[in-house]
Amino acid sequence: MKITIRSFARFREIFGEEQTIETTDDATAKTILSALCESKGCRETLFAGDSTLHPHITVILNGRRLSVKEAEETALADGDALVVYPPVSGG
Amino acid sequence: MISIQKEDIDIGALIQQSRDSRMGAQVVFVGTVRDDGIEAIEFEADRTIALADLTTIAAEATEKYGLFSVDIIHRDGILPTGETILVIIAGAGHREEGFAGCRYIIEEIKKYVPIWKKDITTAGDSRWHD
Repeated sequence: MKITIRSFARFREIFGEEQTIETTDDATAKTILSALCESKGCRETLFAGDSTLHPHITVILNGRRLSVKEAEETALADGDALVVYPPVSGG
Repeated sequence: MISIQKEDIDIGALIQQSRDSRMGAQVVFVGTVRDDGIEAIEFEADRTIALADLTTIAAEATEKYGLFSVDIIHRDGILPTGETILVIIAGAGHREEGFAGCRYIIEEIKKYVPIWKKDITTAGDSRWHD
């Protein structure tokens, strides 16, 4: 299945604005982000240690924010859209 | 009005448009680009999610503080020092609710609305805020 990923601000400069990743049917948001880090070589940006997503990043699936637990457990579907954010700083 | 826009904001017109006869107070917050030795700040937003978040925050403030109107306009793009970044107008029956509602809105925006800023220095360097 194909999943699109978008990034903003600092993460856009690391991961690119938008890309499509081909993945297996059992993939989660964490699976996709892990694959993204492997291709870009910047795992420490999203993960603490080997496998835990940093709590200060935001992951959005089809317009809905995911908790770290949801990012690890929610199964994705073909055509899903993920967004990954660095911490916000507006206002 | 809830908006994210590149264009400057006519604050006087916004105050007039949001006023009604129930209000005894309109509290206006204006955020501007401060000269910290920089030339400008570049703002980037995920407009879809940010607009939904601002709408949620406005509804929460209305409910929590009994506001009669809430306007939030945030700009994006490159804003030189002195430019307006953000205008919040909280219309209320009395000043207490107006100040409290306006304060609630700006603090919530700072917590989670997906808008980022990058300093652009006079030397042409740039750096995202953490």
